[in-house]
Amino acid sequence: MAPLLECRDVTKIFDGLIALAQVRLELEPGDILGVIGPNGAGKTTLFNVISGLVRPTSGKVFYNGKEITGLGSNKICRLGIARTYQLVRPFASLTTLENVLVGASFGRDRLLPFRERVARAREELDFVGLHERADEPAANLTLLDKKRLEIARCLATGPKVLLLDEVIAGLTASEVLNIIATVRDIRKRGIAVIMIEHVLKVVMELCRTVMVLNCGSTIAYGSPGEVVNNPRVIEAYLGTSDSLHRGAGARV
Amino acid sequence: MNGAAGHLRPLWLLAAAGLILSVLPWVVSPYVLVWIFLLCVYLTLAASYDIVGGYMGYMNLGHSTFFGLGAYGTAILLNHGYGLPMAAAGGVIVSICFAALVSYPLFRLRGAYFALGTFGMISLVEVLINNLRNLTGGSGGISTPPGDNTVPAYYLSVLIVAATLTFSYLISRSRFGLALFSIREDEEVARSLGVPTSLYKALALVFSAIPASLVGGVYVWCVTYISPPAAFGLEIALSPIVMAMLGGTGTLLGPFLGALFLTSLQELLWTKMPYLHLTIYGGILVTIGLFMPGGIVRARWFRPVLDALGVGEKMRYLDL
Repeated sequence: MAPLLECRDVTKIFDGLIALAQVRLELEPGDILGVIGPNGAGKTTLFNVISGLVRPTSGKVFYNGKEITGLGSNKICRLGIARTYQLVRPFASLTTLENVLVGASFGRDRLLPFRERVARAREELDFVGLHERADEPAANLTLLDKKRLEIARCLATGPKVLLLDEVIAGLTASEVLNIIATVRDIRKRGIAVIMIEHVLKVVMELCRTVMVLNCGSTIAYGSPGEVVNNPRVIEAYLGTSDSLHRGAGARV
Repeated sequence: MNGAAGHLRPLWLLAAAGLILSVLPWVVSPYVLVWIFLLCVYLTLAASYDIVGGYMGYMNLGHSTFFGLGAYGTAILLNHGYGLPMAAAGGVIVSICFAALVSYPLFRLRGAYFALGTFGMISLVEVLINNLRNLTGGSGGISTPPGDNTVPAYYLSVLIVAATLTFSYLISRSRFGLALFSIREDEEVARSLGVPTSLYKALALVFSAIPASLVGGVYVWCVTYISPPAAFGLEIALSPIVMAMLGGTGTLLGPFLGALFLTSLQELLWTKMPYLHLTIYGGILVTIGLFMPGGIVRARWFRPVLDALGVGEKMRYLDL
């Protein structure tokens, strides 16, 4: 059987800058795939390609065995792939509930009658723990709540695949725990998750598989344990062991 | 808000307004009637502008193009012997087709570029009208069969305003309206949540073109003459937009208040101070822009009025 989501040799070149070079990935239902890598490694570009925001220069994206490369982002959402943004982008002047209602009204459940769509939106607000702020304008929410709102909005579209772009960035330690619990609950619903994350501890805790990008190329792909001990990963994050020794020597 | 009584108050007000407006032709002079007619024309333009400009957040400076197309389409058909219903329907169809056609290139632009592009749309059509002499009479304008249509035109214009405001209200409460609001807030995110943005933007433009062209048809039927400056001039292009912004864009009440305020002000100023009226008019607009950027409906001093009208609670929802 074909995997739920598959990228085959996805390459994206911006004006001569290689953002992604022949990236491959496979995702099965219930998986949590972590994507890590230094800044500018192409992580967000990968999300942009999968969610239809940018068209890859070459390579193909498949969803349930069908090619989705180059489809509009609204069509990809309706098929069941939803994403959050690295910098939160709530509809500021709409209320929290209305924000989520957009997802419920235009995702996979778009044909339901109004009342049921509102009920769906409330369910998702409940799921992320935002039900008490339903009628608050989204602009008034805290960063944590805005991040939860983005997740709820995505879940309301009824996704099979959820792309989380640095949901933890900027949160306090206790807030991070809150989001980790939410991601676990999302997986329990059978939704596959790809998460871009800088905090290795969180990735190790949540993900079965980790993919490391550096300058657009996949330099490691495997279980968290394997990946962190991979010499190429250590090199990408910390520099070569050579330069490390030299650096250490110089200080002494 | 205290329950049922509060919700009923706007309905009572509407009923009373309807009654007063329907007996007005027997009470007031034709001058006042024409003034109300023009108020209705501007109000229809302001309210229909707001579907694209307020709900969706795309500033369409060329909204009057639809008014002009409706007026010219209707005038030409009236001269070919068609009755008003057929002629006006023809004018509306012309502007619907035009809106659908221009939406494709125009909505590839955003922000100020979109505003400029739409402003250019007026000149585009004006040049066409000026040069298709056999059809449109060129720069000399076009006259329609004479007759005094003031009273029926007055009733029609009131009906069109009521229909436009109802239409706008229904949109603001609908799934389509929610999509327009989400496009205004962040188009890319709206699209990634499944909103078919290209289609909806085109639909919004078409929906806003319908009332504008319809009222253009009734206008030419009442005035029996239309010329390029009247249909495509600055006055008709900018007044409705200023009215919507002054009253408060993206709300139902905003365009209504703005139109009422500006037409009254204009009337007052040019009768009382014929030499100074334009200066004062401009001065007031600048002052309001500086001190009330959200428009009248969002000003703090106006809130008690809203509550007294019994629409205070609803405003927030319409504000969305």
